[in-house]
Amino acid sequence: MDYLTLAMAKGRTAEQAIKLLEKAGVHFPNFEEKTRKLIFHDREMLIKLVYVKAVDVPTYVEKGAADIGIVGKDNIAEAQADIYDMMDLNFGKCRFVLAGTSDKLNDQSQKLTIATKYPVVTKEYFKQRTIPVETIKLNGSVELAPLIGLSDLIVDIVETGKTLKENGLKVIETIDAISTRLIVNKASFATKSASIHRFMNQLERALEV
Amino acid sequence: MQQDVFESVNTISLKDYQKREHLLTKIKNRFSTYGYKQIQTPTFEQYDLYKTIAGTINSDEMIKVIDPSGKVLVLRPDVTIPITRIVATNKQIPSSEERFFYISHVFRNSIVQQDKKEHTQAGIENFGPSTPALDAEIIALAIQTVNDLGFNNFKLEIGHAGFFKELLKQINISEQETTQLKQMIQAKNFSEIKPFLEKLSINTDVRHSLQQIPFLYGNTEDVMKRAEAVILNERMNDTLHNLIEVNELLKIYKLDQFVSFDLGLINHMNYYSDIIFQGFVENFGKPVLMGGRYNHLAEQFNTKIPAIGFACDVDSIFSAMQQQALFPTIESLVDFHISYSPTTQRDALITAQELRERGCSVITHLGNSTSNSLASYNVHYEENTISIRDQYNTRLFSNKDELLQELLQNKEEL
Repeated sequence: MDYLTLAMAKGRTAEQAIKLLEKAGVHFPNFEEKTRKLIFHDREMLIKLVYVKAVDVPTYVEKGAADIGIVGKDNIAEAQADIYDMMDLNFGKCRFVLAGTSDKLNDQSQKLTIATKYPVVTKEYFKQRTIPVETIKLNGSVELAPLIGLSDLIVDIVETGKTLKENGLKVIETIDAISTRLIVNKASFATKSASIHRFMNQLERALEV
Repeated sequence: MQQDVFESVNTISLKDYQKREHLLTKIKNRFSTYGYKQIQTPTFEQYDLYKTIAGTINSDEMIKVIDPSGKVLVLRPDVTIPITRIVATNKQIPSSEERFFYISHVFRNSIVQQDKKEHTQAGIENFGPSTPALDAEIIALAIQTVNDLGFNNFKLEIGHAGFFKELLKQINISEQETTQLKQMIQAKNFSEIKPFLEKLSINTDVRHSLQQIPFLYGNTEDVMKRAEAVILNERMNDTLHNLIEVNELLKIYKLDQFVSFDLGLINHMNYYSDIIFQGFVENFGKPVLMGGRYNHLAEQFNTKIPAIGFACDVDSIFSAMQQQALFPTIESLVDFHISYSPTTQRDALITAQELRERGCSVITHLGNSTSNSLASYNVHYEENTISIRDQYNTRLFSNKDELLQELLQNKEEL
C-alpha cells in the first residue's frame, strides 16, 4: 500500500491532534511541537505527516497534495474548499461570534463595518441575515479594531471569551460552533479508499476510549 | 513596451501543445471506436438561452459581450446545452444520428481563479433511448477513455440524481435549507447533518433516509444492500434496480473494478435527471471527468429526447498526466533538412518538393549552416556533390536522382 499524506495544522490544536493520533496507533517519533522540520513519517502505518499553517490545510487537501487533513472548522469554512468534512474529532472547541463594544446590529442608519480574520464566513453570515456590511480583513488582534474605530463590530473565534472581556468587548451573537475536523480529498477518497477507511476506523476507536 | 505575458496561465509552450495534441488524439480515437462523430457549436451563444434554463450555470460566471444591435451574447459557457439545442431544433441532422463528440473551449469567470477563464472540454453526448444498457456503454466509454491515457488508478463514482431529488420532493423546506443540506451531503459532513435534520420539521422516514444518503458509498453490492433500507417509494426502487443492472453490465465489459457507488453524489448542474458519475485519478483533487443522464433538457426546446453524456476536463487531465509522467517523449524532428548554395537551389527545391509529395517533412535553407536544425537527415547540396548525414554517417551522391532513389528506399524501411 502507498503512503497516506496527512496535513496537520500548526498551532493551538497540534498537541491534542498528536495525542489522538498516538491513541489511534499512529506514531511520529521525531515530532515535537516547536520543531522546524515539516515532514514526519510513521513507517509502520505508512502515514506521512506534513506540518503546515492551519489556514493552508484545506488547500493542501483540496489540491490533493495531502490525502487527509486535521484542521479546525473555522479554516474549513473560510477556505470554502471542495473536500469531504468527514469526522468531528471533538477537540479544539470554540465558537464563531459577532462581538463589539455595544450591540450595533439594530442601528441600520449606516452600513456596518466588520473587522475579521474570516471575511468569507462573515459575508455569508450577513448575507443570510440580509444585512449589508463592509468587511475589513485583518490578520491578528482583531479585538483592537472596534476600540480604535477601524470597525463597528468584529467576527472572531472565541474559546472562553477572556480576551474579549479584557478588551471591553462582549459577545453579541454566536454564529457557529467550531471543532477540529478530519477532512478528506475527494479523489483520494475514491482512489485510496481502503487506507483512508482503515485510518478513519482507528481514529473512531481512539475517540471512543 | 507592453508586457507580453500578462498572465502566466495564458501561455502554453510549444512542447506542451504537442503533448496536448497527443492526448486529444487518443481521446478522439477512443470516441470514434464507439461510433461518435465530431461536432462544433458556435463560440457566441445567446445569453437568453442560458438565462432561461434554470439551474445550470451561474449567470455571474458567464462572459458576456454586447453586439452592435444591443443583444447580449455569451462566450460558450457549456457544450451540452448548445448540442441539445442543435439536436432538438435542427432539421439538418438526420434523426438516426444520435452520437456526437466535441473538443471545445468553454469560457467562464471563476471567482477563485480569476486568471483562468478558458477551459478545454472533450466530451460526448448520446441521444439514444434511455436504457441501462446505454448507461453502461457510456460509462464503459468514459473508463476506457481515461485508461487509454495511461492512468492506472482510476475510479469512477456513480450516483443517481433522482435519488436525492425524490427525497427532496417529500419534504417542504426553504431554498436556503436545501442549499445547506446539499452542501452537507456533498461534504459528507456526518457530524452536522444529524443535528441539522433534527431541527427541520419533516417526516421521520424521510429524515432517516436523508441522514443515510451520505453513507451510501463504497463497494457496489454493499451499497445496494444498504440502499434498500432508504427506499421510500416505487420510483426510488426502480432507480436502484437500474443502477444494479448497469453494474451487472459493466461486469461484462470487465470494467466493474474501476467503479464505486456513491448515492450521496450531487452534481451542481441541475439538468441531470438520472444516473450521474465523476472520475478521479490518484493525487489529483478534482474530478477529471463528469457526466450523467439529462432526459428533460430537450423539453426546454419543446421536444422530448432522452440524453446522456460526459465531458473530460482536458486541462486537469493534462496536469495529472504531467504530474504522473504519462506523456511519451514527443520527437519534434523533421525528416529532412536541405541546405543549398545559390547555384544548386534549383535541384535542392525540386528534391524537396518530391519528398513532400511523398509525405516527408522537409525544411529548405540557403547556406550551409545545419547547426540549429533537428532533422533525421541533413542534406547539403554543393556544386558537384550532395552529402547526406544522419546520426551515424555521411554519404555522398553525385546527382539528385541518385539521392532521391536512395532516400525513398530508406523511407520505406523506416
